[in-house]
Amino acid sequence: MPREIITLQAGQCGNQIGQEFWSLLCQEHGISPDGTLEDFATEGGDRKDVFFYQADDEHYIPRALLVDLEPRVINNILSSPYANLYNPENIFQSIDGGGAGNNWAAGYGRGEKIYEDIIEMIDREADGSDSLEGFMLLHSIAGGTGSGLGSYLLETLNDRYPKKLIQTYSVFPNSQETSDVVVQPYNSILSLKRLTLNADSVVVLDNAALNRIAADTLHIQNPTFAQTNQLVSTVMSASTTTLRYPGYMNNDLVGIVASLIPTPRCHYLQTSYTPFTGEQVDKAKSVRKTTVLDVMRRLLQPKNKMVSTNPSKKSCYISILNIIQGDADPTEVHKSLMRIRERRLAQFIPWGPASIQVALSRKSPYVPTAHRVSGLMLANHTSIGSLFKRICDQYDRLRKRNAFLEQYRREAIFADGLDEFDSSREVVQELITEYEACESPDYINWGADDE
Amino acid sequence: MLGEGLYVRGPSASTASESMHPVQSSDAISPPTRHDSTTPASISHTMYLLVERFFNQAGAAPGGGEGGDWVESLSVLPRAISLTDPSMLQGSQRRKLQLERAFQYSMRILRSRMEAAVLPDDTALADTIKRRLIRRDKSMDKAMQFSNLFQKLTTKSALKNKWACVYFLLAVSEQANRLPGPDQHEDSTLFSIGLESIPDAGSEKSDSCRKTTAYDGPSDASSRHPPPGLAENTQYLKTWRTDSNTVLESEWLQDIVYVFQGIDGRYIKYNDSTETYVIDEKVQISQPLRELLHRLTELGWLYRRITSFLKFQTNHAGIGLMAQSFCSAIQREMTDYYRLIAILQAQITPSDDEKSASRPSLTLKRLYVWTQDPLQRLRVMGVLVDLCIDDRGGELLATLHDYVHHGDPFIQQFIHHLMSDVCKPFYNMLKLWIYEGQLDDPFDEFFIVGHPVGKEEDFWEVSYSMRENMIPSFIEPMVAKKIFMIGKNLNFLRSQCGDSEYVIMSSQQGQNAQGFEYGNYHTLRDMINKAYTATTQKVIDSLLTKYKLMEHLEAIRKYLFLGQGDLIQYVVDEIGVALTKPANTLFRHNLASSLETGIRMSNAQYDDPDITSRLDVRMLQSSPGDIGWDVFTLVYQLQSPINTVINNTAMHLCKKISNFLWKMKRVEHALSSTWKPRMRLAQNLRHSPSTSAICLIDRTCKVLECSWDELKTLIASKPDMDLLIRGYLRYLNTIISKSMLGARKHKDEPPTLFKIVDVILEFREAQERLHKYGTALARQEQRANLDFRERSFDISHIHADGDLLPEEDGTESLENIRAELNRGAERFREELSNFMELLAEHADETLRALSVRLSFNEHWKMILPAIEKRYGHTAILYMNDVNSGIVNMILSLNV
Repeated sequence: MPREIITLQAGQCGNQIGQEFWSLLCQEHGISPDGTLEDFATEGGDRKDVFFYQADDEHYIPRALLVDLEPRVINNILSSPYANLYNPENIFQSIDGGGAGNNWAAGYGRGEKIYEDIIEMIDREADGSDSLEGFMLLHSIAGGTGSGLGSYLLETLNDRYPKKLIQTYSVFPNSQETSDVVVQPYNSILSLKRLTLNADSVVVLDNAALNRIAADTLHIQNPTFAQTNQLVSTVMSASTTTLRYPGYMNNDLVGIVASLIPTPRCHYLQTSYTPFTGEQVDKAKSVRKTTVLDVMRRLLQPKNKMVSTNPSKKSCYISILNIIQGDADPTEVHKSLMRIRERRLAQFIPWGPASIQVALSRKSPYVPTAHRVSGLMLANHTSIGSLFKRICDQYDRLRKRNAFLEQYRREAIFADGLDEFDSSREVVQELITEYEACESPDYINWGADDE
Repeated sequence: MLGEGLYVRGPSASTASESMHPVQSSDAISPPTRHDSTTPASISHTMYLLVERFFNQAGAAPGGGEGGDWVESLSVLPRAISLTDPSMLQGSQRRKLQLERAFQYSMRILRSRMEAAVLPDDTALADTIKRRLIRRDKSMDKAMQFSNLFQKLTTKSALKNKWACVYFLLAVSEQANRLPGPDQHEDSTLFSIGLESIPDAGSEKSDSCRKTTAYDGPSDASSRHPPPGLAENTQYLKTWRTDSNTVLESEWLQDIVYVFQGIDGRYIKYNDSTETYVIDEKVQISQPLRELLHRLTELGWLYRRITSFLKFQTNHAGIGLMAQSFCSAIQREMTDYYRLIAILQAQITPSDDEKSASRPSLTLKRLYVWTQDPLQRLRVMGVLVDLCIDDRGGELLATLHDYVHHGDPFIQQFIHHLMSDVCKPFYNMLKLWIYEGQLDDPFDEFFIVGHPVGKEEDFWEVSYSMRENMIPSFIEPMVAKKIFMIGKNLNFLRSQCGDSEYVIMSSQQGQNAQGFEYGNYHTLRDMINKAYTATTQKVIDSLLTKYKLMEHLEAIRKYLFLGQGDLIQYVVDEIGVALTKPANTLFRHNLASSLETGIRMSNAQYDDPDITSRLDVRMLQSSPGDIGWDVFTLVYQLQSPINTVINNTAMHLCKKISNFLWKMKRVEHALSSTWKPRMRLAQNLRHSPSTSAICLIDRTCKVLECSWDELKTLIASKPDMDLLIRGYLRYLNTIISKSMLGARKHKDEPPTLFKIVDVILEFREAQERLHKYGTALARQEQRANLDFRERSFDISHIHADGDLLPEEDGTESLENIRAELNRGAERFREELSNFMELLAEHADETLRALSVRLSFNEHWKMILPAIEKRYGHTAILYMNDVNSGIVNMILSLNV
């Protein structure tokens, strides 16, 4: 019985990431772009039905809902080789087009209007699975559709499927540079509130960090969205390998998430992946030595992190889960852990037991890689607070001047005032405080002292 | 001459002191108990010749064919003697017969080891004689004549022991002087030379028959320590008087030949009580002859022993093939002996024509020499027969084989010859065993024994066993082990794998196999090695390919050790709820159908249906109070021959591991299933148990993987079955020990790990109740139109009214749950500390490292010193931490 996961792709960014993700999954499972099983994909051991289901003609259909308020990206998808992969019923395009115009409130508002359609699609997918594990939302929090509609979806799902997990892959804006979307901070804050309250785990992906990785390790100075999305899709596929290739441990999403997230609100996960080579981006063909120790050490290096944070001296890991793919020697894992501990490469929370957990996973036999071992780290690190702080700062600067608020006021949710902004700001502020509290030894008493 | 052959030592022993030592026989083969004690003493060869000459001259006319110095030197002595007693020459003619006897008597004396008690001093002796001559004749003439003669004698080189000769003559003359009695009778000549009359035969028998056994040497002390004086000498001489004329040599010969055949002779009879041959006491017999006869009887004695052994063996019903062949080999050797006896018999009863042809007839001496070679053989056989009387089969071979390394090439060769016969049945058995796997051992002699097999899976372990003591020593233990394995492999192939074709093929190979004969070790070893590798290879191959051993092992790993995550997850999901019910309300078929669905749903469906169909659910014997989890177990059914490798012991261990893993899985499942609601309830504490539990499972899986790798390498290296079985057991044991299954603080306690698991489960239950309580509260609050979700996280709210909230049902109160959680947390910490302590003390480094894994950030280190102090300050502080954590959690509830 698979623990099915339904993927929701919202907005431009979400659909682009999704597109890469599905094409990668298809490669890994030996599924051709039109959903039929490739001839060579005879090796068992993988679970295709976590993310796919089979149509009557045996071809595989992703458990994916493609939602966007503008047709451009979805049209791109539908003109790609993967057009026939998706269930056309699961593709939602706004009838009137136009999109959300980088306005969170617009996206959110449109969501309320298309509630029936969306819910119908979700229900159908959920009914089609035997034991739905949860939902995966792919979106960015800066734009309009991804953040606004995504937020709305989060609330809806949480309301309708309170027992199912909701994991999001949220692309955060490049906060170090001024971006083309000036209202980014507004959108981010508003989305963050929903991510904090309505999601069970959020994998934070940062455009800035993705660009940096593309530049540093892949030697691409101006990476295209496709290239950075490839990075994201690699991470996504790696983080779901234990679900797709069942082994002893971490065969369900909740198993992964539960070990990583001890307290409800500290559920923002950072990722690193190594090595990024060849297949994803052409220029990086360098093959390096990949032992378990090398991989695990590299995963802890800040430059491999897919989030740009400014860790302070007190920053520490709440938990780490390393998913090692390839033919890793189990004994090596332990040795590597001991080395990491000796060198104190990772700083852990002082208030509870914490450790680097390692899950060994198989690698797809159909995707040849030059390296022996690759690794993904999912980490719950307190430095994520600095990212939120930066967003808050930017938000505060805009908010002080009440800039660009007009378009928000036009939407229903802000019709009665801007309380939503303030409450969101408050939630994010609390989150930042909690992450800071996590760094102190008496975090256990934190809630109690707070009263 | 009787003495000629014996006294060839030459005239070297001239001094009295030297003659004291008994001279050992130079014959190395003759047994040490019999040494030739009749050595010529101070009387030398020369003396002997001299005396002979003397008597010749006394009895007949002097002079002879000799010329040169010899004649001259010898002619001196009679003259010297005649000087001392001229009367001797006179009466000699008359008493020729007596002289003959006297001669013999003298000869005996000469052969005795008497010695003069004076120092050999030529000058002193010459002086004494001269003085005596002067005293007797009252003139110097004779003395002068003597000194001239003596001078001449000393210059002559022909005589060596001049002093001894002269002293002898002196002594004789002195005797004559001393006993010059007038009452001389017919023996006066002898008396005149100072000797007593020689007694008649049979008149003295006091000492003649002293020796009764063949192996007793001449043990008379007096013969070794002759009395010093001449008076005593006289006394001593009496003991030597016997009469050899009583029994003729030919009669002795006949007797001896009878004895050789184990039949009692006329004079020599076998004494059953002493197990020796005894010469008739009435017979007067000389010591050397007795000695000789005894030596000869040894052959008869050996013959008796051997034939009695053969008789005993042939009458004995189940003596075994090897013993039989041993007997027959001995029998064959004996035919040579019989032939010899026949020849001997022919020799002693000569036909008429032989008489005429003056062939030298058989004497005892000749017989003795002739029988030396057969005696050797019989001796060796006698020893072997004695040694092997109780041995059978391989033991016999081992005993015999020890003698192949005898230093004597004769014995070595003899034994080798014997062995090649004796080993034939052994090698036949060996061949049959190696090439056909059959045990043709009607007399239970082979070093491999077959046993009846009750259950098929026990076949390998039980069916055959080795008897260490039956392994012939020429087969090294390693080779023996291999031989054992070869046959077992063949039998295994035939009976368990149903592959008799291979066995037939092998037996065809065996037709022209070389090396199955004694002494051909190297070829044999090569053959065995070849056969061993071939059969082992075949067994492993057929297990791996035909019976899919690897697939089964993999299946056990996947299903019993929960490697197939998705199936296990399904099973836990599906029947987890059912398993929390009391065990006696559960039905096996329900669980089995769930399992089947699970197999269909999970990736297990892609496995060979042969494998998945072996997977089954078992309910253990339930005792009252057990819930489903306690009795539920997955089993993997195996059939022959796979169950030989994965035998009952292994299966038992598998079950143990499997149950443990199920328990862990259950914990993991329980913990993660409450994660979501827990998150909603915002509590902090749960992280610790869950991480630890997951870490433990993780650890066990690592161990599983590592050990699995080792096992795979082992199998890849193509071991033999024994190694394989042991390898698998080792694999399981490693898992058990490394997953700390057995670790416990005190022997009578359940393993610590299980206690931890129990605590976690209890804790979880308490939390579930808390959760229920919390949701109940939430519902109330919702009734009050408050958004529960918003508020539940809002910790800033006061719990002041928390205690005032109405209880959901009478039994649940906040205080109760709090106390329980407290207790649970405390116990968890305690057990975990125990566990960590155990880990830290554990011998295995990898396990010590697990404690590091468990407290990677040294969180638990806070606790360990506390354990040392036993609830010291730190522990209290820590408990406070825990308490406050729970309080915090409850506060958040009481919003």
